[in-house]
Amino acid sequence: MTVNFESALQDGDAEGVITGLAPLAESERRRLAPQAAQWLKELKANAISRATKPWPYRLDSQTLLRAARAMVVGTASLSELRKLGNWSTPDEDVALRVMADRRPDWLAEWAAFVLENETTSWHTPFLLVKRLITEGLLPRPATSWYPLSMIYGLQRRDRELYQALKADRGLLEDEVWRLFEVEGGGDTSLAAHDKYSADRNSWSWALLQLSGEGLLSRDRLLDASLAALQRDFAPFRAGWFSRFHESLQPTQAERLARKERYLGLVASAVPATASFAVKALRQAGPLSLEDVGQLAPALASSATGVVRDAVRLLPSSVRSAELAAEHLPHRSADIQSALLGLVEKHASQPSVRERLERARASVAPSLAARVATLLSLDAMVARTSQVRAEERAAPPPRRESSTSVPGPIDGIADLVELLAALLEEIQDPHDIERALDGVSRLCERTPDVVRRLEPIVKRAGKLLGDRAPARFDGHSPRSDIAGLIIAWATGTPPAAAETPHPLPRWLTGRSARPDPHQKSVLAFLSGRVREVAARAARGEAAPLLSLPTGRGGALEVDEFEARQRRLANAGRRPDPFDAIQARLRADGSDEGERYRFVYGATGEKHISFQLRVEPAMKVEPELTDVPALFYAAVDPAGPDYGGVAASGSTGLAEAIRWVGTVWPSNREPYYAKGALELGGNIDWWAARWELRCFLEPMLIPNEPLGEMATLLLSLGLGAKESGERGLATDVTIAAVAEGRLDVEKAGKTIGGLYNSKLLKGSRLATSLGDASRISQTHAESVSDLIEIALSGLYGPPPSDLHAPLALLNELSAARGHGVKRPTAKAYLTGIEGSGKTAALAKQLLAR
Amino acid sequence: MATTAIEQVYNYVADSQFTVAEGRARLLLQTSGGIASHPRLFEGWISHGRPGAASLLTLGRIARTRFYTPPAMVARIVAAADPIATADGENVRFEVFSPCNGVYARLDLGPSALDGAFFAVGTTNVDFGPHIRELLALVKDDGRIFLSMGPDDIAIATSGGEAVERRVRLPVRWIKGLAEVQVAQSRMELDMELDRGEAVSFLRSLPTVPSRGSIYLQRIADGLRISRSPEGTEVGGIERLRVLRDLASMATRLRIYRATSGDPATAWVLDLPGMRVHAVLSPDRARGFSGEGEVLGQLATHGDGAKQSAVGRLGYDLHEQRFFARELPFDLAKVEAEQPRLRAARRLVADRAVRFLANGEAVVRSSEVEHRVRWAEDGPHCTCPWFARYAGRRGPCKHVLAAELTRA
Repeated sequence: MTVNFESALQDGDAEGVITGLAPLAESERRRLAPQAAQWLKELKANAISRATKPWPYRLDSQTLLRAARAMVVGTASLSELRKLGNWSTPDEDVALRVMADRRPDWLAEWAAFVLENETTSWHTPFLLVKRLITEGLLPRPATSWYPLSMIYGLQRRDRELYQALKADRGLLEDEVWRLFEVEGGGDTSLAAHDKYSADRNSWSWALLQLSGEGLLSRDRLLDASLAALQRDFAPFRAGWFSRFHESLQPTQAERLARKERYLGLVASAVPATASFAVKALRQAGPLSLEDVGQLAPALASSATGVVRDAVRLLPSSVRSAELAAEHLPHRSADIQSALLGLVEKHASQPSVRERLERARASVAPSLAARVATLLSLDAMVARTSQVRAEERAAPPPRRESSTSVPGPIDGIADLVELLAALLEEIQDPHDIERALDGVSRLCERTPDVVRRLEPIVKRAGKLLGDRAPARFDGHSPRSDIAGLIIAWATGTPPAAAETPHPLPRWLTGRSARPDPHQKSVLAFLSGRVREVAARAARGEAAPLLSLPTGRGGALEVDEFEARQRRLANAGRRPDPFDAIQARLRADGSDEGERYRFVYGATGEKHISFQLRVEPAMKVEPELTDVPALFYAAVDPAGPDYGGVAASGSTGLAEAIRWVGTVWPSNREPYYAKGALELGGNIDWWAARWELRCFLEPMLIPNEPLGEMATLLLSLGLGAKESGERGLATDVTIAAVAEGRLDVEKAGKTIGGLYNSKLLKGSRLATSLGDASRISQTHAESVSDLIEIALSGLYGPPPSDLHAPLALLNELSAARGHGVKRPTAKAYLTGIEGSGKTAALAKQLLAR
Repeated sequence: MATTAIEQVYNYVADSQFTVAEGRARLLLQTSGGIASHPRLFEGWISHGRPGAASLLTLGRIARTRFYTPPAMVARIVAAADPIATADGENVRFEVFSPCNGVYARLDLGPSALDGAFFAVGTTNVDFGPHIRELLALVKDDGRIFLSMGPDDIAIATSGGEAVERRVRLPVRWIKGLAEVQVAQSRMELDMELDRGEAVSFLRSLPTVPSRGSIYLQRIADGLRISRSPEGTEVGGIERLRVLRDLASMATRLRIYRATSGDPATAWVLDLPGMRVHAVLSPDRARGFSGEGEVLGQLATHGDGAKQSAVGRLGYDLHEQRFFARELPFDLAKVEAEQPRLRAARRLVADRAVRFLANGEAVVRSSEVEHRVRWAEDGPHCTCPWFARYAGRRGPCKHVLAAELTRA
């Protein structure tokens, strides 16, 4: 019978295609392949563009595609099928019939390809491959994608997973067990499947049922789940196997029989697996002495729960005491205490004493007395304190004390490269100033200069063309630089008033108000760039007054006056914005004396941080009234100088850094704005990576830390985001070393914020503990700071007070005395109960 | 069109095996490629079984961990490559690369850890599948392990196993990274040294989530602290080091090496009894070593010796501060041809797009604009966006390469 394949394809006649292909030799099939592939590609293109174009065929897409796919798999080579990808894979019935007729020698490879490329959580080729296997056309594929494709491959709305497995006993003999050998990834894993499935449709439930009915070996399930845990899977995926193992509720005898496996898992890199193994061992019964050594990895775990469980499991023996002494250097004093409990019973043994002696330098100060008793060292406490004091007296890491900055650009080649670099990324705001100053002085428009600018003009045009915020309007320093380059190179000055940049769609909530960037400090900076751009377009070179001479925007008064004289001698008047900026940097302003800041936190469950300026500003400041612009910004509805990222609703690090250099003699309103923003995002509701930049000027060695700086620093120390917290810790370390931190003020601020539940005790303890490690001075400052903070607390103790108290306890023990401040003592005396906090309060009061 | 991946075919005569019989642990690693189809390199004992097994497991973990997934990448992850093993008559080295190309790790088993016979000198792939990992996790305490690398005739005859063939698509950039990381190491110097307690404490304190922004390490009285202000040794993607945590408690010391120039790649060397584990981190978790471009200059203008390291025929031992020979068991012909920047530079030269000015600067016409290349004290400079972004820290741009090729 001769079949007209073209008609069959156009009629969607899959049956006709299959029967027509059946008698054909391989060479005849191959001749039809190009036509088949072409037709499939055409259908695919039309199917993809259906949303915008009408479907050009009389029949529906499914009917046509079914026939086309039958034709393709019946004629194409393996490499052609690989190229065509998922679109060429037919349904099970078609695949089975075509492949049964064709029997290509690459069928196994094709099945592996399909399994690997088409296994997802919404569709898998498992049933297709399984039917090929059942019909004897294919051995079970070795690829891990075969069992993985089964995870979602048995799902049907009208049938539970359990029923599907029960209906095919072959699966219970082979495929099910292979699930314990493969990890999967993305959403294709047992863990991912069960996380988003109803209980009765989960793999865990199905396997438990089948085990209960005797259709799956319980022993084998117990062993297979443990073997899977030994395969070093990622934590999320390993978790399924430990949970499944426990859901089988192993008896003590079953656990004992698997003791070796559990012991092996104690060393797992996944803390949850190690914890599971230690708990399982506890249920298996007492640990024999010869197995004690295998608990070493658990004792070295960073997860305190794992160490605690392991300590409970260790029998009282010399070997246990040796191990405990070896692992004594742990961050947590609680863990050290538990380990010491094991050591104490065998401390007289030389091997234990030797290990204890080695570890004693790392023992928490609060435990030094116990160790001294064990080692029979009367002077132990004093010696330990002395050792620590000597260690801490070591000079802290050298800080860069210089406040100097790179000098002006002195050549056109360097200037072009600096401008090119600024178009890519702005790290240091001083580079913007150097670039501005460089363009201002070197902006001649010779043919060579214009040619040299060619590549960066192209780049600047691309930047502005990529929907980046517009130039010269307080949205983005990079856009301003791009505008400056274009004006200089093309000789076209910026328009007198650029069309306001339309707000991006994500800002529609704010679109009813005027663009908040139009009257901001950043817009003032944009104005400075615009001034230079206008002159550069005219090729009119002149020096700038405002180039900083020190870090953070500082400008020496002598240098400022010298620049003014030079300009006057040259018969030039300074550009207006440049003059404002230079005067603010050199002379400052007394505008700040008119205002004060008020802050606090409200709410019980959802704590809200608020900060405002008093008296409230009634009139929107002009762009030239820069100090007023700073104060106006300390209002959520005020002008925002954080810039606008082109790709999202966040601000720009470079904008915040640059604004920080505008009024260097009084950064209090700048820090207030930082506190407002960071305090409102202290639990990292939004990924505002730029906010940490507000803390950076505090690292300048001579930067004063006023009320708002201290507030921002305190909020930083309790921030959730590790970068903000880390930078605040660095500032604390630097400020203590340089004598800039007012501990009294910081303690009161932190106490107030902690009392209002805005700050969390555990985060504070982490950052302050880190700062206290630097030197004896730092340890004392931190200790004082916590005591002052305690003095300001009132009401029931916060639930996480034990964290800062534990730190204070260790610092007090290291110094060899108790709490100094009567007000702090009074607060501690009022803490009642038997919990961790009360116990620490008692220890502190007893010292 | 540039080739983005090569298909690596691992062909083993059987699966690797790990057995424990009568208290004796035996690890038979099958080999594929290199100096022969299935080279037999070494047979003998590894003293200190537990650190050896834990180190191999750590390498296996690195080989399977994608420390960074680009936002646009779908869940399907590049298949892990098998470790590369080199025997040089004294040492056995296992090398792996993370699929993201940002972490390189090597286990060196030195003479004091090995007691056996070397049969050949060479490099090969070794089969290190899940079954081996499962059993290595059971190695107890510190007993010895019998290691056999490569099949002997008897093993082939009696194993009864079937030949194992596995195809893995290795991105070309992955293989290029193997060459780049050696150059990066050769430009490092020892920065800090931690004892066991300090190393354990530091590795335990690492952040669990990827960090954003630069991180600096500062040496203080009781160990190391992580700082956010630019003082100390800069480390990119420090959380990647968590993979070493399990080894720290067995180590005697941890040495930290840092790059003397360029971006902050770092190397971490853990000394374990008789062996060493090296982990080299790229400057940022989103940056693989392949894009660093340190070898480009060598490939473009240097002699054959430099090219040897540029195409991965030399490894670098930080501890001994010297290169060691190893012929990577991959098809490197494509890799040598697939250096996009070098290819583009050669095209510019062929198009006569480079001319020199009287002041020594080069003008390179590319993408309809003229870039200026000049040579300053700190190296060549260019006006293109690549140089603007990286300032030579990720190797020369195509314009600098073209100018240097023309000048050579």
